[in-house]
Amino acid sequence: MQKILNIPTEFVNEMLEGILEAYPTQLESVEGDNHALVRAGAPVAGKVGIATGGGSGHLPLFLGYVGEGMLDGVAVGDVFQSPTAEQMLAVTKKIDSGAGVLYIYGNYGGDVFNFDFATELAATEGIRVETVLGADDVASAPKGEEARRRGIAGIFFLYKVAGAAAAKGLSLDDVVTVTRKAATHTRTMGLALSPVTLPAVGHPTFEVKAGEMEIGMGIHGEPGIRKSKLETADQITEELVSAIKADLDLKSGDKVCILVNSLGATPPEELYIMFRQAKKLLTGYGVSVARAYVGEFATSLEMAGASISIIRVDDELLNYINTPVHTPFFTQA
Amino acid sequence: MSSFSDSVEAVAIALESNSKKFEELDSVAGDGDLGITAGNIAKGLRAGAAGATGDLKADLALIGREIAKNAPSTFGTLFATGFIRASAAVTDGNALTNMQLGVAAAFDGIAARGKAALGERTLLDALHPASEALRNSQDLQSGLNAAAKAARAGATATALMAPKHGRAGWIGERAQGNEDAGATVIAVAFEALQNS
Repeated sequence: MQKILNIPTEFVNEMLEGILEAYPTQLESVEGDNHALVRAGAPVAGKVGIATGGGSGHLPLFLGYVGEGMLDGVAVGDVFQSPTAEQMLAVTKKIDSGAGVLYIYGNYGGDVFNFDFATELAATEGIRVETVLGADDVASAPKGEEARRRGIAGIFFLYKVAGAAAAKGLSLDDVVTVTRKAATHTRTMGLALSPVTLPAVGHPTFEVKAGEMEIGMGIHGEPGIRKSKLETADQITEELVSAIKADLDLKSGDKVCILVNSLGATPPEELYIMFRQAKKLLTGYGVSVARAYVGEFATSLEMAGASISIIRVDDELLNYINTPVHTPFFTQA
Repeated sequence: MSSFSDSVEAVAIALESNSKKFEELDSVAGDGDLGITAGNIAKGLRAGAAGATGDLKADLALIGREIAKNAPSTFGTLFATGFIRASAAVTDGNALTNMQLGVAAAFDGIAARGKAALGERTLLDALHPASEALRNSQDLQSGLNAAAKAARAGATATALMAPKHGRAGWIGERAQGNEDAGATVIAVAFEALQNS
């Protein structure tokens, strides 16, 4: 894998410098640490602050959704590494208007460890912090063990709902309630077609053989549930959608929003081929699609592959999802 | 036992002067950075003590925050967690009661955050016997004497334990035969408290 790099160990620092230079009116760093980023002008008076964080290598996750209508701050770790509790605390202090802060991040050991500690540190400074974990990856643990599941692209819906609810002026408790509801109704499943190379490592750290695919592989190369020869777009899509349907217990008459996401190297053309089939399948189940997102939302460097996320919505959730947002990496009119 | 700041300073000095030992133990099969971490924890202890106001709850919380800031590694975070939890647990009671409550809460908090149990070759294997020794004591000095002895025995015993936490960063796979570096940090800290 050829990469455009200077010093591999400076990959994240140089990326952050570039992002801050590209969006100077939208993002700013906290106390000169580019790993702690907030919305320009944070905090927003009276509003619940929404913070996220996680390792680098997943753009637009996590920092790309910091902005109007979505998130207030983000702690950025090294490639596939959790940021520190201290960085999370710095973000938390910067975005708290007095209304409290909600953490939304993916369910990974290192992130939980550091965010939980940041929560305790914030409490000693009088800031109330609540947490809703993204744990939408159906393939990462069986039904009944949802708490063990990893968080992947479906976290986008949690950001969307929490961001809109907070912008509307809801209290921390109410933002938590509606974000939990969104999490309860969100599922994702994906597949990988190629491995990734971490800049500082220089060679792939796991394997996906040529001509093969791995259903359910995690966005850091965590083992999936099935390896096989590469199947057709329709077959792949059916496997993903039917697994989500079963896990989410989708029924005729349900209304959903869907997100078809590239893991980095898979082009949008292929995503639309998948979406076409997903829409057909859902319609066949009697499930209506209220809104669709197709593109790059949560990647894993240059991994080839895709994921499908589905959230079952009621009027409340759909209303929040339909609210306009404006962030460096994502705008919805 | 002398003043709060003097005791904290005694622990900081002990961590610094033993950092080479921690590094050696951690290098057996870990990543060898525990010597550096111990030095960073010492900095956090000092920074916290410098801002102490005499309000035990606030002072312990400040030390926890300063350790988190100065030693952001996993071990440092666990150590800081101990102080934050101790801060929440102490009361207006006497020094022995507060030491008992604080150390017990630190143990519970670190075990929960590190998702580890006794016998898994971690700092918990020194902290738990120290907590038990304090709980069974009638006055602070004899409690600290017993805790130091128990922590050292606990750390020594980790040499016979197999690491259970695989590649988990804060425990690491270390060769058996040497005591766990993290447990040794706890023993050194209680020995410093005992003599302060």
